[in-house]
Amino acid sequence: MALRVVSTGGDLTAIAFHPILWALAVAVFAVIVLQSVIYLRAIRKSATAAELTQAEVTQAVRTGAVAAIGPSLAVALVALSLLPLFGTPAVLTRIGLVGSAPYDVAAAGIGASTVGASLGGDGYTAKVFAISFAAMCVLGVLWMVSALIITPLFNQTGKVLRKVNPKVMAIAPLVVLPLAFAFLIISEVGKSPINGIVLVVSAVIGGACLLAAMKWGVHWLREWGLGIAIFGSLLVGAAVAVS
Amino acid sequence: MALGTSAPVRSGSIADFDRTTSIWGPITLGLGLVITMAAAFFVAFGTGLGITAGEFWTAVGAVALLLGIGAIIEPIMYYPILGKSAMYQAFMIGNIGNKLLPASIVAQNKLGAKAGTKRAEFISGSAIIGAVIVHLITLIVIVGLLGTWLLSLIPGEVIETVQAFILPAVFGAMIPQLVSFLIKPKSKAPAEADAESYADAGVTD
Repeated sequence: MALRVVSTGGDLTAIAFHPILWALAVAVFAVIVLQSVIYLRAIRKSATAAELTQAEVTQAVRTGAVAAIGPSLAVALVALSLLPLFGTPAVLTRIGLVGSAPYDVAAAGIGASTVGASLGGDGYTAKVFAISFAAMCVLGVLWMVSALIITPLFNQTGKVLRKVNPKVMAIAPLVVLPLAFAFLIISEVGKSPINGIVLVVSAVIGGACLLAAMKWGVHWLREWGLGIAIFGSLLVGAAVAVS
Repeated sequence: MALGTSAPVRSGSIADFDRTTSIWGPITLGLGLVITMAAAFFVAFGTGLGITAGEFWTAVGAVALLLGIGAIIEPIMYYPILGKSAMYQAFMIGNIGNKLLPASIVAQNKLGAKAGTKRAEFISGSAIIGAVIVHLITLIVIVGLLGTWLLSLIPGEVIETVQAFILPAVFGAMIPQLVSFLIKPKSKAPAEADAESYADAGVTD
C-alpha cells in the first residue's frame, strides 16, 4: 500500500500521541502480561496431570519464543511502516497486539472512507485519524466479543460431542487445521504470482530445515527453521520483484 | 462458566487448570475489550474534534458490515485448533495465524504432542506465552522506543518487501511443520511414547 508521511505538527500528531492513548496502550500490555503470568502458573501447577514435566513446559515456552522471533520481527517491521499513519500508541495496540495489520488497515481505510477521506491522503486530518482509529478499535471489539461468545458455546458443544463419540474432539483439529491453512494460503497466493513463489521457497527452506533437524538430530533447527525460511524467502521475493 | 463437572475428571489438577483459565481467560479478554472500547470512545468524543455520533456509528457500521464476518469466522476456525484456554490468549494477543499458530505448532511438533489432548493444550499454551514474551520485547524495543528513529534508517524497499511478502513467507514456512505434525505425530523421542497413551484420557475439560 502507498504510505504518505503525515505532516508533523498540527493536532493530528497531538491526538495520535495523546497521553491517554499511551496510557491505554500500556494498559493493554499490562493485561497481556497479567494473563500470561496467570496461565503459566496454571500450566506449571497442573503440568503433571497433563503428562508434562516442568522441564517440558520450559522447553515449550522456549520453543514458542524462538519460533516467534521471525514472525515477531516481521510484524514489528510492518508496524514501523504504519507509524507515520497512526502514531505509536495506535500501532502498538492495533497492529502489534490484539489485531493484525491486514484487517486493521482495512478497517481504518473503511473508517476514513465514511467521512470521504483516504488514509494518508490530502484530507487525512486529525478527525479522519480519529474516525479510522475508532473503526480499528471497534473491529477489535467485535473480534473479542465474538471470541467471548463462541468459546464457551463451542466448549459445551464439544462436551456433548465427546459423550457421543470421544474421538471427535481429537480428530477435529486434524481436519480444521489443514482447512484453515489452505484458506490462509489460497487467499495469499491469489494476490500475486510472486506471493506463490515466496510461499514455495519458504516451504522448501522450512522443509529442508525440518528434515535436517530430524535426520541429523539438529534440534534447534526445528524452531529456528521458521525464521530462516521466512528470511530466505523474503530475500528471494525481493530479488524476484526487482528483476 | 463450564468447569468440567459433567465429564469424568481423571486428575483434580486438570480441573484446576480449567477452572483458572475459564475464570481468568474471559476476565483478561474482557479487560482488553473494555480498554479497546475506551480508546475508541476517547479518540472520537474526548478529543474535541467535533465528531458527531452519526459519523462515529456510520464508520462503525461500515466496518461491522464489511469485516464483521471475519470476527465470526476466525473464532470458529481457531477454536478446534487452539482449544478453550488458548482462545482467550489468542484473541487478546492478536496476529494469530501469522505468529501464535506457528509458535504453537512448532512446539507441539517438537515435544511430540497429539492434537486434541490436554498435553497438546498445555504445550500450546506454554508456546504462546513464549511467543508473547518475544513479541512484547520486540514491539517495545523496535516500535515503541526506537520506532521513529529506525523508520528513518531502514530503506523503504526493505519495509515494502516485508509488507508485500510476509504472509506467504510465514505460511510457506508453516507447511512442512504442519505436514510433519499432522502426518507423523508419532515421530518423537521414545521416552515420550508412554505419555501419549495416557494423553487421551486427559481430555476431560
